[in-house]
Amino acid sequence: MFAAQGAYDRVITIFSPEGRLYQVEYAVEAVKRGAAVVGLACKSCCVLAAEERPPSKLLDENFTWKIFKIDDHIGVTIAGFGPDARLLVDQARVYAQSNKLMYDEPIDVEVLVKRIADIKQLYTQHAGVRPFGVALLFGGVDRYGARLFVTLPGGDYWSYKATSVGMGSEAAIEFLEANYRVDLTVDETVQMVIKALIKASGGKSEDRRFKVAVIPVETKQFRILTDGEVSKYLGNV
Amino acid sequence: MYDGFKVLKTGTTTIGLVCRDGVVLASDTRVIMGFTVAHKRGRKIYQIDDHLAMTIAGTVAEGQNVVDMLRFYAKLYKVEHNRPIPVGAASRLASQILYSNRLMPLSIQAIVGGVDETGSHIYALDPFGGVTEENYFATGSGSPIAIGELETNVKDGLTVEEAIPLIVKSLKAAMRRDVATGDSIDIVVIDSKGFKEFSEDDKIKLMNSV
Repeated sequence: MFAAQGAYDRVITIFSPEGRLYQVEYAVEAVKRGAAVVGLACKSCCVLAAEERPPSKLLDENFTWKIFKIDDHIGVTIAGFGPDARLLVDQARVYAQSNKLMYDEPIDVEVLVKRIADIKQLYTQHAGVRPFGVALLFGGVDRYGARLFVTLPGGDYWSYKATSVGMGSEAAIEFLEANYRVDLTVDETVQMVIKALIKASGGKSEDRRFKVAVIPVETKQFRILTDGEVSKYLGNV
Repeated sequence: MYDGFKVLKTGTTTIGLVCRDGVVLASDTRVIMGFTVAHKRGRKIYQIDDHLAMTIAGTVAEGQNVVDMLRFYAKLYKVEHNRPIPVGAASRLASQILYSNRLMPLSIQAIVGGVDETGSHIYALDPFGGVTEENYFATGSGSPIAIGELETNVKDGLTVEEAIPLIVKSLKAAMRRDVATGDSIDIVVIDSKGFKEFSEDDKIKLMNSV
């Protein structure tokens, strides 16, 4: 497999004769190997959920590296290389606030997502850099209601009603496609997203934990659920 | 301290008024340089977008430059956000431009007015970027006269049709008692149908009837 690719996977700015950018494709592989994350947007809310696998039982349970708040009304969850994601999360936070400073209004989710996708695209074309090995699942509530977006390493971005990225995401997507309704309540949405995540990871387990963030359309306030709240939902699954 | 208002005393009167069904912006058309009338039909109300306009008082070049920048950013906003820029956002943008020049201030007073999803709004801007939302406002050397006249007549919930004679009346008062205000008037209405400027005939009729 590798021999046929010759030198075209060494430098990201060079196309292979078949018109492919191998380094970008490898970055997508990094996303596929990341633990799955799920997001869903409906009439009542936007919910993001991630599965975290703590490297030790002694890890601080309040520490999270899969879900981040961007602004009051926007959050993100990530699949792939965490450190790569953090840089983009920082950029997103700054961009959300500069929009607020410039226009005195909260940023539209899509405007923010496009900006982050633009940064990712730059890293597929500039010399001396490598692509971001991470997919970001942005969720938020703005004037258009609950929104959900995925950005991939190549710089493409997509808007979804519900989706999943990362290892096992096919099973989660299949589940979401079968069960998605636009009129879900907040409770039902959290329940469905957790179920989808369990489909992706192949069952519940002691050494895993679920992080869930909710942004209700009513309040437009991002909030990460406490472990207690998540346990209640897990009990119902 | 720099006294930007000294320059503003070179003259003009512009008025902005929020109505139930839209926004009215009005101004005289006299442009002066010292004791010379430099232009008798100078433009002081500028369209920024279909739903948005701005009046300027003070140094013409600086006012026009802020207008140009606002047009640039309003169009960019529309393309990037896929909707017209809200009046409040445009005012904040103008405020940022003015404040970023605070060390060598742009000697202008501006009224940004328009209609967006949240209704009709005007915002008053001072030379340093101070911004306040108002129901009615006047700028320029004739503003004390105009606003005095306006204040006695304006009440809440006016329609554009009711407001226009009141505005013409206060402009005429400023034209009579302020030497730097005069010659003719411009009137612009922005409502849900968009931006509309009064024709010369309409304005002559109004000036004679009020």
